[in-house]
Amino acid sequence: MLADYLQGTVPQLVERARLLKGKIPRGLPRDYEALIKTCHDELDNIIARLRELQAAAPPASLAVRHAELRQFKRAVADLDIVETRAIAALHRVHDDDHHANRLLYRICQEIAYPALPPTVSTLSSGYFYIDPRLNLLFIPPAEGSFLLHLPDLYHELAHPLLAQKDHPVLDRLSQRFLEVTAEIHDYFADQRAKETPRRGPQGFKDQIDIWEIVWTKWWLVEFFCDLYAVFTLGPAFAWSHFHLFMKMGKDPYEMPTPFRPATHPADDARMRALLAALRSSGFDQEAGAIAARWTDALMLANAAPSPNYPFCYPDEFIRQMVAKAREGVAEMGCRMAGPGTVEPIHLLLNEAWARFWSGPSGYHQWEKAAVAQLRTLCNSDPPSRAVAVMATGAV
Amino acid sequence: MSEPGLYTHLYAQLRYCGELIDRVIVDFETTGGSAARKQREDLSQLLRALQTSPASDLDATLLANVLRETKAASGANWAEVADAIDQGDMSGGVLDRLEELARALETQRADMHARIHGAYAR
Repeated sequence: MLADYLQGTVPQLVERARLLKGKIPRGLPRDYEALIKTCHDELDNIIARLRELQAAAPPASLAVRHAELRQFKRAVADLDIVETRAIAALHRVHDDDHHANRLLYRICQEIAYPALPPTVSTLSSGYFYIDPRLNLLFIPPAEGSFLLHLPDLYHELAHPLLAQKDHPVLDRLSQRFLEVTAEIHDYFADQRAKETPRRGPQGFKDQIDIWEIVWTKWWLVEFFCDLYAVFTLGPAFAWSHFHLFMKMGKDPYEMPTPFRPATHPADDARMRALLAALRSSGFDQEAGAIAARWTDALMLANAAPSPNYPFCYPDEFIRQMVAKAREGVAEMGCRMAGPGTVEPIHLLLNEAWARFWSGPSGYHQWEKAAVAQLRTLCNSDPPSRAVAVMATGAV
Repeated sequence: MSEPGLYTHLYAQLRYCGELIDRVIVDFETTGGSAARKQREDLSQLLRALQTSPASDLDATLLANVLRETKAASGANWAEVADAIDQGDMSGGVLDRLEELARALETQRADMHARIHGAYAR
């Protein structure tokens, strides 16, 4: 059955992939060249895999049929992702996208981003997110007209750095990431060992297993991306986290359960890591101001940590993770933010938060002018990184 | 990052590992293991890392999590499976172990794909 099915279906899918290539608009600005190339490469790869399946000899074993069906499903899913994300983004390119791409390019220059800058699309259906394989970053359509959430771009920039393999520079961050992964395993192995002789409740031991899985499957990536953002941008990123929590946050001490594994770490734990990172970057005063507002926010949330919370997010472990992430970011040669950093977008995004708190009622008017200034800056010819560093004295 | 991005991150890893295992299975079953030499080497290296030190490699960490979550292939000695792959010997349950791992990966990959779109296609 499978062979007949593939004979009928694969040509259709190949035709679909070919059709998608034809849907890539011509004459797009150079910002899109990398994404267009990725689309062609991905579609060629999918077509080749599909044709291989079609050409395969009738399988002799059930194992081969199982494997081929899985391969077929993966090819279909990959095609779907290229179509609904990359081709859709290219097909609906908007002026707002051009601005967002220019802004991201300038940010990448300022922070000495060690990889190809992602392409930005304003087609997001859910806040900020990036597809590391397509190197395509989605932001909401109106986000380019405001400043307070833009620090989240720095977080998204970190995801592709952890997704690439065999890269002499990016491997330095991955290595630190793996060292923390090993520490996570050791920490939870210790917790389990302590519990075994105590004959404590089985529920707690099961919790330890869940914590270890969510830490290594979901949370560590998020923590590292947060830390990359705060090490390269400074306080504005921690304020952005505060902002998102105030708008959309739930329980700041959320704990994973078997039924709700929690893809993101608890907001309070994230903030603790961000504050530790800020202090290690010389932003003690700013960290103090953010911590004070955060304490108020936690009181307003009217939530309390469960007794197990400190075991899931131990302070000592968060400190070690911050130190490792800092080493990894520095070892990649990224520009580390410090109180003396004076590059324009860095200054603007941090100033936005200072203005917000110093005069909340007048902030909106200031922001309008600042966004216009940012657009002018992004439309001007960017200085080369070497010139920027010489001009600002940034290290 | 909002959840679609996290799902995408994991999707790519699951897809890579699943594809690697299936390439090796198909190659062994159709050519006796003569075509996909590079994939065989990559897979045996990955399985050794999974057995000895999952935290030394991002993909091995992923496999370890998949196996713990799904409780698939419990008790498997992945270093022995790696040795068998190197030697081109798929007897003694090696193929079964690989298939079990490939199935667990595929289930999670399909789940991530559905989550990326916010729903399952039915």
